[in-house]
Amino acid sequence: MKMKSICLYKHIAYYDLNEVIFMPVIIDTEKCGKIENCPGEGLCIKICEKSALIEENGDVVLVPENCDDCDLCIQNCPNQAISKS
Amino acid sequence: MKIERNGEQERCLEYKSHNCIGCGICADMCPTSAIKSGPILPIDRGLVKMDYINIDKDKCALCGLCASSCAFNALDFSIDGENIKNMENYPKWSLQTTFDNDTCKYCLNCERVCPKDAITVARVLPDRSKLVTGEIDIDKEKCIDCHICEEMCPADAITIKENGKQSFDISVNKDKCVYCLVCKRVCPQEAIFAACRGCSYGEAEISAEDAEIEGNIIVDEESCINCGWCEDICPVDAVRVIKPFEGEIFTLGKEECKGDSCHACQDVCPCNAITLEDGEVQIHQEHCVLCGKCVKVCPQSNISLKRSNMNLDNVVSKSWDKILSNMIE
Repeated sequence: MKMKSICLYKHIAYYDLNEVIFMPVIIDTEKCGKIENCPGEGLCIKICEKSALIEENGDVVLVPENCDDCDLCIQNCPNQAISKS
Repeated sequence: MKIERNGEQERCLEYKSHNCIGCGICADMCPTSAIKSGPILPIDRGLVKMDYINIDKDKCALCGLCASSCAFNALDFSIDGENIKNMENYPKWSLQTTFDNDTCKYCLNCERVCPKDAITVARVLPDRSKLVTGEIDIDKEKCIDCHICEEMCPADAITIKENGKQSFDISVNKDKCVYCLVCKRVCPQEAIFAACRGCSYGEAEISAEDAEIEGNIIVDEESCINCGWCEDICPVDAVRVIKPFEGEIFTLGKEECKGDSCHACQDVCPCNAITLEDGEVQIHQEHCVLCGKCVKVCPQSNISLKRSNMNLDNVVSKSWDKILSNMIE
């Protein structure tokens, strides 16, 4: 039991312990592809007002500590590449 | 966008994107699934440039059901050049936004709040010169061109024009003058004679007729979506609005709603009926047309919409009635 909680703690190292229920989104890089191939030209980055999704070398990268869990990116991704863990 | 086909009849479906609010009701109604709704939120936030709907010309059967289901004048369907809205056997929306000109005070409140800028209030104010009564006269012989009265006049009614270095011309604009007598008091030469009938000589003789405000409210029926803002804001209850749907809309109060970071519902609402108060979504039903846009964009399914009735009459076709009644519960 103790081991388990330590593992969990490592996994959610980004968060305050009080916010353990927070589950960030997962980007499926295969479905996503590069931003230049995105029909929405990186719509998820534009639609996220918390700057939790940023561009890095043409890829979409998640900044988990900024994510407010609003799910707008999941709903609006034209490639359905974003999901909940 | 226009889809035309000429068989036994000439049938034409026209999409007027400037009137479309993007509710997607037509897409829900289309029996051949020829209409696809675009990404509502990115369009409303201006992140992508496209129409709210896309009609597949090959799938469209040109039945006209979408045009009949649209309560916002975004789709026109005509058979042999005649709009089906004017035809006997086709459904008709009984929508209304009317103003009672007798009660209206022409305050412009409705014009200011209309989310579609569909209202123009044209008002004609009474002739000012009939209401402010007084007399003013400047003795040009006594005047020494000191400009004191011009500077002091609160209504900018006195102008002095220099005609070269030697002569000048002083004049009073009686449309601007309010007969406050300031000029008379400051003139060092006592060159100004001015009197106000309102005070110096007792009550002014102003008849009620002279003070009447006339006007007219012009509603652009094409862009009006009958949201009810004007009816709600009108201080004298001069507006009557009949909305397309009756029913209720409310938030489910889910904890997952991330109000301030999402505000998708607020951004897409065509009626400005949604506000965020301390991060909490508030839907003001009095301004809502129950179009269902917010329900479609909410990522957390936090909004519930129940339409109990629609003001669409004369649905003759039974199969159409079956499809159209899907809009209500």
